[in-house]
Amino acid sequence: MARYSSFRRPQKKVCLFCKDKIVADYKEIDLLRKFITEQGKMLPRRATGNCARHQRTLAIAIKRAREIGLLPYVAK
Amino acid sequence: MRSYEIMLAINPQLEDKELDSLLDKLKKLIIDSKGEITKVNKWGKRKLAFEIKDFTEAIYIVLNFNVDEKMITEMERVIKLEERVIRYLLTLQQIVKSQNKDK
Repeated sequence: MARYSSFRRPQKKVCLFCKDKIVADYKEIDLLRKFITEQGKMLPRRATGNCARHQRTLAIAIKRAREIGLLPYVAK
Repeated sequence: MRSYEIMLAINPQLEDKELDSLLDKLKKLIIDSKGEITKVNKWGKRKLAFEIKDFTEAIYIVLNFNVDEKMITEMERVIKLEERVIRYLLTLQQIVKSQNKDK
């Protein structure tokens, strides 16, 4: 067991949308940009720390923003 | 009656007059079908994240309105035919919908 002694569990992240009591909206691009990579891909739940429900609404918001040309599908 | 939000990406080369006439056309369509406009938000010119129909930027406008759901198909048809609109996004506003349920 000694070899695990240096292992530290990373601190659990809290869902930003639950914490601030906000709903993801496709118009708030600055907020949505926090949840995509430089290439424009959505970050997974294990990276964002979002709860399942808010990750779902976030995904819809990002997809809507892409549809209207506010966010890229693929960034160069 | 349902509450909708439509975001329009419009040809950036349009002049203010033409833009107003386009908006008036849409507003008239909503009012003629006994709907009401709750909010008009002009974002102005923005760069597009990617090229759409060879445009690199567009004028963004957000319209909030209440209208009967049967009118939406007609409205979408008009907007699709409108060449000045590069792209549109129509969404149902769920927050207002739940308020209607309370009534």
